[in-house]
Amino acid sequence: MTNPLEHTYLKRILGGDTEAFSYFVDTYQHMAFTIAVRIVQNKEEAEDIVQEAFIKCFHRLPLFKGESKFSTWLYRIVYHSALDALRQQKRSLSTQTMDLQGFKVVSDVSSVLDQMMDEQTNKIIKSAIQELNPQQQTIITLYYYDCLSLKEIAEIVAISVSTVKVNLFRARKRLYELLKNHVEFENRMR
Amino acid sequence: MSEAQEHELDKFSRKVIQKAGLETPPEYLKQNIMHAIHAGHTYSPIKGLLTPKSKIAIGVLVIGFCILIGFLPQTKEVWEISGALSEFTGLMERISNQIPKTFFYGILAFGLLISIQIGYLKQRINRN
Repeated sequence: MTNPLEHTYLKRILGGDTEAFSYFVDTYQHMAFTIAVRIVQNKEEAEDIVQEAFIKCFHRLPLFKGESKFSTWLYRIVYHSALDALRQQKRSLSTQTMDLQGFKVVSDVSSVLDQMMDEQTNKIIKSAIQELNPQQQTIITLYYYDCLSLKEIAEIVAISVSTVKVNLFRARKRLYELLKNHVEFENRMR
Repeated sequence: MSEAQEHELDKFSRKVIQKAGLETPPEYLKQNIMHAIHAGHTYSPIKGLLTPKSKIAIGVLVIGFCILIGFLPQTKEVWEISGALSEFTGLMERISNQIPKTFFYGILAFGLLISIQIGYLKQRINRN
């Protein structure tokens, strides 16, 4: 169900105030971009997917009845578009690697070391997440970061709740094993 | 895996995923989306095939027609209530003399079928 605030914005958009759509872009672009980028592993392509998904949502707003959350609807479009793009990528065999590290401006010199360690940890975690399959990546991110229910995730990924549960369990286990192996490897190297 | 282990794994995963955070989209992404929406994509609300008023009107007509044909006695006294009505009923009578009743029922059934199909098709279009 859409919340009252979103309902108000939806009404404004349907009434012709297109600028009100920026509320939805602001609120959901980060998660949408994360879903896309983790699946296609290419920032430019992820941008295209997210942009197309938002535009698609805008044009289909009159058909959106508010029975589910706007986010569920949007993430579903993003997820499936990203999977399609991934299939095309695999077909053309032009896999691109990417550096997932964002650019940060370091203003405080004393925090450089902390930040470097932080970024290193982040990089390790992100590469471990990338080792999961696209479905598991999406499920684990939506469950632990966006705190979506299993039912909502099932709707987005278009599988049953029990399959979401199984995949979530597998994803947790795999993530733990990957990170544990990494720590053990680092310890052996020292 | 024991319940305690599973709980630990759950805690660990939550921490890890929250530590990884979300990817930051470039600032121009929002601008691009809003620009695309403002520019070539002017919003045009999709109208239903039948407005609620016309649905009610069709419904009333169909029900009225059914009553006229099926339930009212076919005697002249009843039909000649007022001038306009009697003209209409006279016309109906003339038509019913020329065209068999089954043909009338056929038209009625056909009309109903179309009305139902419009609703059904609209639902299908909305879902896609």
